[in-house]
Parts: sequence; C-alpha cells; structure tokens
Amino acid sequence: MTRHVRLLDRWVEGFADLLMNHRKLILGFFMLLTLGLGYSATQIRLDPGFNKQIPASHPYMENYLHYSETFSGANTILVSVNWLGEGDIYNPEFLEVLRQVTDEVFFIPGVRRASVRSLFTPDVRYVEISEDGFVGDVVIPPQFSGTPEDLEQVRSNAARSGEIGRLVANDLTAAIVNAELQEFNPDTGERVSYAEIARQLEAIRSKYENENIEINIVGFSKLVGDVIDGLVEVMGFFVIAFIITTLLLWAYSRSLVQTVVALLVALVPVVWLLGILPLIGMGIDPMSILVPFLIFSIGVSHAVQMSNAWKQELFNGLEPREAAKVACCKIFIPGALALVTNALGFGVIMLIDIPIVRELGISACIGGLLMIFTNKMMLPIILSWLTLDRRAWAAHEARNGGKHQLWWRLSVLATPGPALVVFAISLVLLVAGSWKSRELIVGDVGVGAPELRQSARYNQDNLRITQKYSIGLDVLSIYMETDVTEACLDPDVMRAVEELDFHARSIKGVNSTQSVAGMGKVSIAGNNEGNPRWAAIPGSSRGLMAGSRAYSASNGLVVDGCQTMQMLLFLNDHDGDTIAHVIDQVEHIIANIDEPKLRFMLAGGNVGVMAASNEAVQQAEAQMHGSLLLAVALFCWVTFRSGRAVLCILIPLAIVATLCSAVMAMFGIGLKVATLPVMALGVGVGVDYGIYLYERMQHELKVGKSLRMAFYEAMCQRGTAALFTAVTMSVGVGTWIFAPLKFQADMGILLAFMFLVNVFGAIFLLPGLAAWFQRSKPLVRVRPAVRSPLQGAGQN
Amino acid sequence: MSKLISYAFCIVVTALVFYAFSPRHDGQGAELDMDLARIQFNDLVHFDGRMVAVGERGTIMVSDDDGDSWQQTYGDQQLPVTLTGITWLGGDLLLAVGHDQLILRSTDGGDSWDVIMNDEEAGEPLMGTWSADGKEVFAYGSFGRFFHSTDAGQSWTSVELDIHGEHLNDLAGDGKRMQLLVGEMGLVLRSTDGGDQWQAVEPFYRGSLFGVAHLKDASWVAYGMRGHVFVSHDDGINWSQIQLPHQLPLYGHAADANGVVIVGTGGAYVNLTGDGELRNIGFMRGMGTLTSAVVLPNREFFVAGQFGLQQRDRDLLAHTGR
Repeated sequence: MTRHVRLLDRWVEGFADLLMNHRKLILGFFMLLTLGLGYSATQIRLDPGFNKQIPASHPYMENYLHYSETFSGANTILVSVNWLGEGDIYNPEFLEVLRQVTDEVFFIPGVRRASVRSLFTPDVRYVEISEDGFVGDVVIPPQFSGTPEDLEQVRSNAARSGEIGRLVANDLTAAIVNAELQEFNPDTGERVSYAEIARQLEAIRSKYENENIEINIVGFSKLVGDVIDGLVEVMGFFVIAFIITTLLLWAYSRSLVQTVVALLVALVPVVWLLGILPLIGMGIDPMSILVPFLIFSIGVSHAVQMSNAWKQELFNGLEPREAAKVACCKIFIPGALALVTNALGFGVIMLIDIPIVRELGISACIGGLLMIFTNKMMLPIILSWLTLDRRAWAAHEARNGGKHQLWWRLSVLATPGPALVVFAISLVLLVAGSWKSRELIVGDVGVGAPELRQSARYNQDNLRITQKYSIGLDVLSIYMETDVTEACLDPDVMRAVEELDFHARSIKGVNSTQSVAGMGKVSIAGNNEGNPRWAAIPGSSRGLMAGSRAYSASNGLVVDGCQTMQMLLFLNDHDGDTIAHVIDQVEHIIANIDEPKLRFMLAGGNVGVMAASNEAVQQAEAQMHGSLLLAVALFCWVTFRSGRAVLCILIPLAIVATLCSAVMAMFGIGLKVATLPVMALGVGVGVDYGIYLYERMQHELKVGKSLRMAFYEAMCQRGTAALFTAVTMSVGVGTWIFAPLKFQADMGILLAFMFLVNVFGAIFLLPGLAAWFQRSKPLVRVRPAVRSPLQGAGQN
Repeated sequence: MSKLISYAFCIVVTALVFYAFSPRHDGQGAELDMDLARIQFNDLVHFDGRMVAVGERGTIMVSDDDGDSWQQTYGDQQLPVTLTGITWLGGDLLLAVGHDQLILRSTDGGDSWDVIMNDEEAGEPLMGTWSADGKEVFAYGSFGRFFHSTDAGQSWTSVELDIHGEHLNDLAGDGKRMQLLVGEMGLVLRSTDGGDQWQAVEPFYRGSLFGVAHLKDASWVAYGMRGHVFVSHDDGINWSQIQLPHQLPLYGHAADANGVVIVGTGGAYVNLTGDGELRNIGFMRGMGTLTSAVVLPNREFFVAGQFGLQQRDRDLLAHTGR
C-alpha cells in the first residue's frame, strides 16, 4: 500500500510541477478552448421527441415500432372545443368554430392529414336501422347552412353516429378535433418540431376563445410545448440558485477572489459541455435541462475544496504559486477520484435502455470528466496568480488559534461509544426507510401530465377532456397476428379476439375497449334489425359475414385481410399502478386464450410505451444502484487499498440511496425516466464528501494521529467546505420546489435531499464506522519516522 | 467483539438495502377482474327467490338475494357462446338458449348446466323458449328456427313453420289457450292449439317486433323498432299502435298482475296497465340499452342489458304498483 501511494503521490507532484511550469501556455489553451466551445454552445438547440422516450430493445417496443407503421401511432393531439354558452353545441356559432378549428388543425404541418377527425370530416358517418334497413350518411349534411332544421338534423345524426363520448362530449357541450402527428415531415423529411406545433395550437386557442368558446388541447406535442415554455422559468430558477450560491459562497469565504474564481471555474465546464453537445450531434432535452446546473453545482463544490486548500496553504505562509501547487497535490487525488466516480455514476445511468435517459447520462458523464480539467488543472493555475483579499485574512486571524469548537465536539463521533448511538439512529432510519420505500411506485403518480403541476393549464385541459369524454389519451394497444387469410371471417380467430376484448373490458382502470370483435358484434346486430341479442361472435363464417362493415381497415383496427389486428384499451389514467395492473391482467387473459391460430403481441399506444419504460426503469433501478455502488467500491479500493475504507464510504451512500426511495414514496414521486437518473446523480454527488473526508483522515492517521484527531483535522480542512457546499446546493435546488414544472420540483426535492443527507452520512456515520474498524485493527499503518511526502512537497 | 459490531452493522445495512431494492411485487393475484357492469346481459328470470341472468360469451349469473350479490355458474371457459334467453320450466328446471343454436339445460336451479344442442356450423342464434306446463317446450330463433320438445327440453325436433325464414324474436302465451309468436318485418303468428298450428296475422307493421306479452283476458302487447308499441284486445287479430314521443327501439319486458313495463335503448321504459292503457313512460338515465327486466317479489324492478346487472330502480316499482 505504502509504495503504491508514494508512487501516485510522486506522479501527482510531477504533474503539479508541469502545470505550474507551463501555466501560461496551458491557461491560454484553456481560454481558447472556452472561446471556441462558447461559440459552439450558441448553436445548442432543444431536442424533444416522442420516440426518444421509447426503450427500443424492450420486446413491447419492438412490437410497437414494428406495428406503429401499420397502425396510427401513439402521438395524438386532441383539441376539444367547449361551448360555454346556453344550451348544447348544436348552434351555428359553435359549429362554425368547430369547422374552422378542424381546418386549421388539418393544415398544421406534421399532422397526418388522413388522421384528422371531427364532426366535420367525411369519415364520420351515422348509421340508423329503420324499417327499410340501413340509413347512413355524413353527420353534417353537405348543404348545411345553420337553419334550425339543419341543427336538428346534425343533432340526431351525431346521436346515431356512435361518436357521443368520443368526438362529442357525453353531455353534448363540447366536441373534439382529433389528429395524429408524424415523427417526420413527409414533405421536407425533417423531424417535426413539437414546439412549432404547440405554438400553432396555442394560436388556434387564442384565435377562437371567447366568452362562449373555450378550447382544451392535450397531446404529447402540446405538452412538450408547454414544458418548453416552462423552461424559460426554469432558467429563472437557475439564476436564483446561482445568486444564492454566490451570496453564500461570499458569506462563507469572506473573499471576493475565492467567490468569483469558484463560480467562474464552475461555469467553464458548463460552457464546454454546451459547446460539445452540438459538435457530437446532440441537443438538449427538456428532461436533461438540469444537467448543466448539476455540473455547475459539482463544479462549485470541487472549486471550493481546491480554493480552500489553497487558502489554508496561504495561511500556512506559502506564496500563492507554491500554495496553488501544494493545494493541487493535496486535492488532485481525492478530487479526481470523486469526479471519475461521478462520471462513472452518470455513465451507469446509460444502463437504462431509453434514449432520453442515455442522452442525459452521456451529457452528465462528459460534464463530469470535463471538470477534471477545469477544476484540477485550470483552477490551480488561476489560483497561482491570485492573492487573497484582506477581509479573508482578517477573518482567519480572528479565528486563529484554538480548536474549532463545533468540529471538535463533532469529532466525538469518531469514538466507539457515540458511534454506537449513530449506528442505532442509522438503523432506525434505514428500517423505516426500507419499509417505506416498498411503497415506491414505478411510473407516474396521479393523473395528468406528471411533468406539469396539477394546476397547469395542460392538466386542467386534460382533466376536462377525461371528464367529458369516454376516451382519453391513455391508450394501450395490443397487436394480433394470424396466418389465416380473411381472419375476420374465421370464428376461432374472432372468438379469441373477443375473449381478450370481453375480459379486458372488465379490468379495473380500463375505461373502454375497441376491437374488431367488438365492432363486429355491433355490426352483426345492426344487420339483424339492430337487435342487441345478435351482438355476438357466431361460430360460423357465414354468421360473421354479417359484420363485414366492421372489418374495414378504415376503422384503424385491422389491415386488409385481418391478418394483422390491434385492440385498443382506453385507460382511466396512466398511474404506474394502473398500468402495472392492466398489463398484468392482459397477460393473464392472453395466457388463458388457447387459440394457436392467433398470436398476441404487447404493446403499443402511449400506455404501452409507459409500461415498457416503467419495466425498463424498474429493471434498471436495482441494476443501476448495484453497478453504481460496485463502481464506487472499485475506485475507492484502488485508491485506498482497504476494504474497510470502501465500507466506510459505501455504507452511508447505500443508506442515503434507500432513504431517497422512501422520500420519493412519501412525497408521491414515482420512480420513472425523469427521477431515476436523479438518484444516480445524487449518489454520484454524494460520494464526493466521503472521499474527501476519508482521504484526509487517511493522511492524518498515517502520521500517527488518533482517529478522533484525524477526523477532526479532516473536518477542519475538508469538512467545512463539504458541509458548506452541501448546504449551498441544497438551498439552491431547494428553490426549485416552487418551479412551474413538476418534474423540476420533484428533482429539486430529491437533489436537495441527496446533497444534504449524503453530507450528513459522511460526517456522522463515516467516522463511527472508521472508529469501530480502527478498534479491531488500525486502518492505516502508521509511519511516524517519515514525514508525509505531501507536506514535504510544501517545503520544496 | 469490535470486529463483530462493525461488520454486523455493515451486514444488517446491506440486508436492509437489498430488501429495499428487491423487486417490488404488487401482490396481484391470478384472479381476473370481472365487472358485471361491463358484460352485456340478454335475459333475466326470477323464480323461487332466485334470479338468473344470461348473456355475453356464455355468462350465467345466479343471485339468491335479489341482485345484491351474484355467483357465476357458467362462462366462456366452458363455452364462449353468447346466450340470448332463459326460461324457468318449474321446480329446479331451467333452459337457456343462445347463438350457434345452443340449448343449455339445468336441473338444479341454474347451478350446473348441460349442453343439449350446439350447432357451430349453423352459427345462428335461438332467441328463447316457452312452455305452458314445463313438459312441452318450444324453442324459436333466427331464420324461422322452431323446435319442439315433449320431455322438458331433453330432446328436440325441428318444426318447419309456413313462413319465409323471418327471425322469430319472442313467444308469449296465456297458458295452453292461446299463443302469439312475433318476429322480423312485422311477423305475428297465432296458435290456439298449444303450438301445433300457427296462422299469420294480417301484417300491420313493416318493422321488426322484438317482444310480445299477454296482459289479461284477450289483451296483448307487442313492441319493436323505433318506439313502436301495439296493443290488441281480440287475442292478436287486430292491433292498434300506442304513440310514443320517441323513436327508441324496445327489446324486453317484465309483467305482473298490474301490467307490463317494456324497456329498450337509452334506458327507455314504457309502462302499460293490464288493459293496455299507457300509464307512463320515461328514461332510466345512464343505463344504455336495456334488454330485459323482471319484477321482484317485493315489487322492485330489476333490469339488465348492455351495461350489465348493476342497475335497479326502486322508484319505478312504485310507479308500476300504483
């Protein structure tokens, strides 16, 4: 161990010399790089996309991607026109607005034209069974002119069209324009801009809303648009966090120089990161908008450690350049280790097989690695030219001499007795935490778009639409495939489809179902005088022929020949538990269906995507935590060469990760694509504190100090800065709780918790563990004869 | 000892963390959800304190507490064929019919069922059975299907009626005295010899008739498409229409000593006195299409249909009773 450490120290020292000797050249290079990347950063663009949320290798999604070309996708927008005036929608003013809105939606670029449906589109027809057989036509007659007779005609046609609850609200006070979006614009071949579509939808809203008309719009693209709008405010919160950090940093350091340098150096990797992303062809997703801020936070944390070490060397009487070099030597190993571990932690996020999360992992990983250059190379060079302000000297002198009271008292935790108390408290917390964390929900919690708050316009609109109509945006599609030609006339196939439809309809959380069997039954009954007793799948193809109207591809449930079919399940909501239950039941129903002619394949629709990403997230959760802790363990072991050191750092981390799950369960934050990375980021950031403290303790132990003294020294030299940064960051991200975007607020709660509790774990639990390990066998072999090479370095 | 404490602590922590992150099971059983409001029921019968409902995919539900709780005694695991009608033959004997020319028979009040007839090739439904004495039974259905049994439904012989293959939708009788059979395109057949010979009545309506009921003495009611209700006071020879303010089709009825309540699409109901006078009409909101109804011994009214068995209306009975 000794030889290894010496070698590493010597290497670091040589590196620090190199830095200081070529400081102008290196700094110049860094400045040029910053300028170049700064220019590139101006090219960054927001890059949201529905398909980026899809865990493409999940079997559900392989089916979904395969069949979404056949059947319309999950990317639907609903524009509901609400009549607020007297009576119902059958009046000239409303119908005129509905017609115009239909037209406007039709002409939005990126909308699949054929998919647009409303009372005014020609594919919406009514059918009535009369004494003379079928009577059917378009709902709004071509010669419609708004006369009372026309209106009565439309009212009765609409009632017979079967669209009440779908295109027309159940209470007849609203009607919907339904459209689907394409991922790529077929004219230009470019990716459809959701923000642009959202803007156009918003324009429709402002154009037609008046005292009688209210327009509700939901759909993924609108959601993205609203989230992007919210991001402007997010930037505001970043600014607030920045200001809080600045003020606290100044209050702590009493040094303008230290404050400015720390902030500046923390901003540089953010600029680099934003510059690199466009170069490697990546944009920034609304979901990963917090990464730059996170990089900034970590940057501040490390910059404070470095500049603090530098300050201490100045107080020890060194010149700035020497002080910078010594600080670099002292901080490089734990700092670089912490950053590599951070980067690794972020890299582990890429285990989650969802593009949007991978992007987050990549950008956070790059950001983490960049900080090794800015914090461990650029910062000492800058510090070597600086001198400390008088105020900081004054503050130092005022405190000079004597022990730091608080840290000395705290260091009692590094003795076995008090450590037992900490153990007991930790265990109590952990037991409560693991019990509570079992209630953690995978997926979304509550109704509406989880990205936004309940009170957001989008969620209000969504609520309105789910209340007024029998359908909504939460759709699960199940695909079916058969080799039988004209499968809709095959009773075995149709009865198998019916079986799924029949049982799926009963599942709790399912609002309604649509399948070719269901439509066939209605159609067969329709062909037999409309008698509901005929609504059944008969055992012969002859009987099935009566339902032929239902087997048309225009209903979107089968493609010609019925060899490929889909069934739609409209869910009440997309709560994680609801989805899990529905999927579980559907799989159970399918397992019961004994029909070799028909193959069932899960699952599409937005619920299918959510089910897959929930499963991916759930699978990744344990995997992610496992690999994260394993990686941290490995790195710590390589550096400290002690299994017990690894435990000292790892045990508090593991406890905090568990408590974080419990906090999520408590605050009703679901484990999902947006929150799982935060847990990884939190662990990644949390490991810093432990590494810095333990590294310092190891040095102090090596020169023969008692464990309590070693911990006390570590707290004085590193702990203050660690605690300070933790508090600062927590306060900074804590303000996000007031953010307009719910996912940002959730992330704020989680990050604040992780920042703060991790530092508590490091300063309360780590010394206790060390104390007990030390008691059985010294953690570090004492080398009293030789002075630490680091201290030697300071005297060169 | 100190070694023990430190490592024991680490092990306990590890175990708890593993527990926290071990796969979370939602504790879902293998039971499939069943929502009686999401299954279509096509017919109801009430006898000796028991109610039996039949419907979609062979579902047969039995209730011994007037609809407060239901047990399933038959379903699509046995035979996924939709049932359309059920008849009580007296005692514990029940007959249910359905698509694929299916006839089911129960000798224990509906707890277990035997398949008597099932013709998948035909694939077309029977609509119901009728018996005056519980021994001699008639079954009728689509495309003029007509069957006759003399052993309480154990064996059947097909009977050719002198019609053009119209659907036969309902049969009602006043004991052995007089029977009426109604069907597609205004078809009404009369029998005065217990179902042996059938004579067509002079057509009075072009649309389909879905049901027929005996009121009292020589008074009968028939109903069908688009709000059409007809009453006859001469044992079905002459019929007069009762004008309704809506055009909703009517599919089922429940009768007792006070008269009849006919139900149909949109929760519509039509209440007639025993003399064939219109007492009142209305809508049971949110009930979708109703196919059938029964009057319970406590004079409550129980309906079934598109939205299952969840529906009952205690107030309506008061109307019927008055």
